[in-house]
Amino acid sequence: MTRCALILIIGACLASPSLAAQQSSSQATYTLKATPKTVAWGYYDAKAVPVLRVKSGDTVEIQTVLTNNPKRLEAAGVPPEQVEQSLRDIEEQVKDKGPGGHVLTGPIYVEDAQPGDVLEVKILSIKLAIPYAYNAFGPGRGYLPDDFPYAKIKIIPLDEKRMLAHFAPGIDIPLHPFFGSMGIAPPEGAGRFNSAPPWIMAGNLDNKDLVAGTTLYIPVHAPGALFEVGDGHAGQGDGEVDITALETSLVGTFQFIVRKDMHLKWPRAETPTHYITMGLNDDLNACATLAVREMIDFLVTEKHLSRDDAYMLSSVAADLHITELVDGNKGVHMMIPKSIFTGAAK
Amino acid sequence: MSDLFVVAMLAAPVSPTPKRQIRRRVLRDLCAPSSACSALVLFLFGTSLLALQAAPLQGAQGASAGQKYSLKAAPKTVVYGHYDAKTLPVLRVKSGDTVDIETLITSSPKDLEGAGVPPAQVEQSLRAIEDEVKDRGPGGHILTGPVYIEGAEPGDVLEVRILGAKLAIPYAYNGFWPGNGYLPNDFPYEKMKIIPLDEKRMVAHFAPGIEIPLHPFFGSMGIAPPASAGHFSSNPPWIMAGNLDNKDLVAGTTLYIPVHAKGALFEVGDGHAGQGDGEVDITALETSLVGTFQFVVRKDMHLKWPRAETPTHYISMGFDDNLNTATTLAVREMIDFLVTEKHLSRDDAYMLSSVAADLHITELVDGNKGVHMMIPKSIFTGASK
Repeated sequence: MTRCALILIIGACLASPSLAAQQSSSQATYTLKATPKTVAWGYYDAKAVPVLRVKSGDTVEIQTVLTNNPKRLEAAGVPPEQVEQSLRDIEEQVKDKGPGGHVLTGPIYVEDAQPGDVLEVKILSIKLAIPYAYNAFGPGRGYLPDDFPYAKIKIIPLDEKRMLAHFAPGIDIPLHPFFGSMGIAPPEGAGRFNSAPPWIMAGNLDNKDLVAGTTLYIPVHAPGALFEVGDGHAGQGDGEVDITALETSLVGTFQFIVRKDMHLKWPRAETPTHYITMGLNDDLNACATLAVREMIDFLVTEKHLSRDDAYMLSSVAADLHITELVDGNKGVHMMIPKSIFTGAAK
Repeated sequence: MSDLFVVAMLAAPVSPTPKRQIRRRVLRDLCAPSSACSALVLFLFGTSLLALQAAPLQGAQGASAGQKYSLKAAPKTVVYGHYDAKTLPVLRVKSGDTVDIETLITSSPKDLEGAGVPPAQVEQSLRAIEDEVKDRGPGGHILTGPVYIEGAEPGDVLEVRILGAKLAIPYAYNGFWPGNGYLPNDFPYEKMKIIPLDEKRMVAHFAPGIEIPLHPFFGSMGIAPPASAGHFSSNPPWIMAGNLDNKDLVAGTTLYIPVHAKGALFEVGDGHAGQGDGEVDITALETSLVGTFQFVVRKDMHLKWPRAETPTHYISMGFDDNLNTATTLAVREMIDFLVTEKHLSRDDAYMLSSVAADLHITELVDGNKGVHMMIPKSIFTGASK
């Protein structure tokens, strides 16, 4: 496994473990910056070379950069000194780009994760990295491309103290920072998979409910799982209709746990308040069907309801949200409040 | 105006609202329009003297706005399964008047008893309606009304203020049937479950260890469609609102509906003690509710689709048998709302919809699917723009 040896060397260089990196028994904490050598531009790929190697249980603070480039940001009105140097370096030095447009930090190799396992990703914290976000749409993109067949970009100041975005005079939007894209490698046969459509390996979920405190469960398709993250959003509406959110740079802290005991076909999540199932497909009806079937399966498997009760409970207590409409695969997620389970369910 | 005579005959002095237990019948006919649609049936007698149709709490013919009425659910005050511009009103009110309206669960005594409801808990009004109302369909909902609102003309908007929505019975049901619901191939059989409601704690006891907080709302609130739409099934929500099954339209919400017929002809029913967005198995926590509504004719508003304002959000809506089309409609309606009411530019309205408005799948099971978009009122901190 020459790749493994290489990984160790690269990991040692690029990541700065605050505990002994090779300590096997205790959980280590790492920091991973966004640099030309620690990002994957526009793809998830089982063959991508990892930039950090961690053990199950380890925690990594990961810096990400927003989905844009210095030139466009400056043209839209961001003062040059507010454009992150890391974004400039990445823009200049990373030549291997696409097919998607997201700058994703990683991949991180999680030891012992094997196809068939589940990678549990605990989103421990999410912090704003810059005092602004942008929103934009362009011809041929977004959910109403015929209504808005031109380009527009708007810089939106973020107030970290009050956790608000100043969208316009008289319009302040509360922030709920989350990562638009959190994913792992798809099956090797999928090759270099575009970072735009969310799929079985999660990725560009654009799910506004995956805030700090949430745990994401992703079925593993490649050894080491190969986690990547980026596309920071300071806030978003369900649907993300114009194709962008409050696009910004975020720093996240993640703990990775390999779950040999779980087996999933689709990603799931647990927020501080809800259980979430997901359906991802280019057809919105298929998304909804998937999300409902996943919820029924979750309620049967995890809450031990009968299938009939699970269907009924989904009808009376679980909410279908349109996650996003604009990423190739559309997304629907179903949320059921944890608070309704008051004891041993059944 | 023959309507007036009908109303005058139905209106009667107020009496305490007897809380009858209701039972209901199932929505099997949602997909299969029944034939006995259009004939006006004459009912020989109401069930009893208690079956008072409309009871003004103050002088019914008083000229000033703000009269209060009470409308019970009885064989002569309900419409079974349709909205229709030609339906005779059971009550006539002025803009600004308020009406307490009793409604009945979407089921039948037989089905409720079959599912385990004690006969004593089946509302007498439901039994009377089941026995006496012969003009049914094409839908399966028992809708109280129509209420004629004076001065409402096609092109106006009827503002419906939902002042209250109270539980009338201590149970709800949930059920699914072959060919219905969003996963008909996964569940090709029938099931019905009675779910006790705890009004004090406002929770439903779904199962041991599972309690669902209640948020009562009316699945169906609507007015007559254009006359040419005829005897329009109560099943699909459309431009005249109707079977929205929108869980966010709780007490405190105002619904705005474009008027298509003189008097608007408001009907309401299909009480839900709670529901998830999507209503995937085709039923909610189906129950009987009593609502209080104030009706205001808005000559200054002009809408193509219903909209709503809850205590916390503005809501736009889209209905279509295609979920994508319903979504597109809801987004375009939100943009139009933000431009018209909040004076944003169209570009800002599109952007704000993307960053701050949420698309919910209202329901997937009523023929026309529904999508609604919600934007929090709290983000508008001052004069927006």
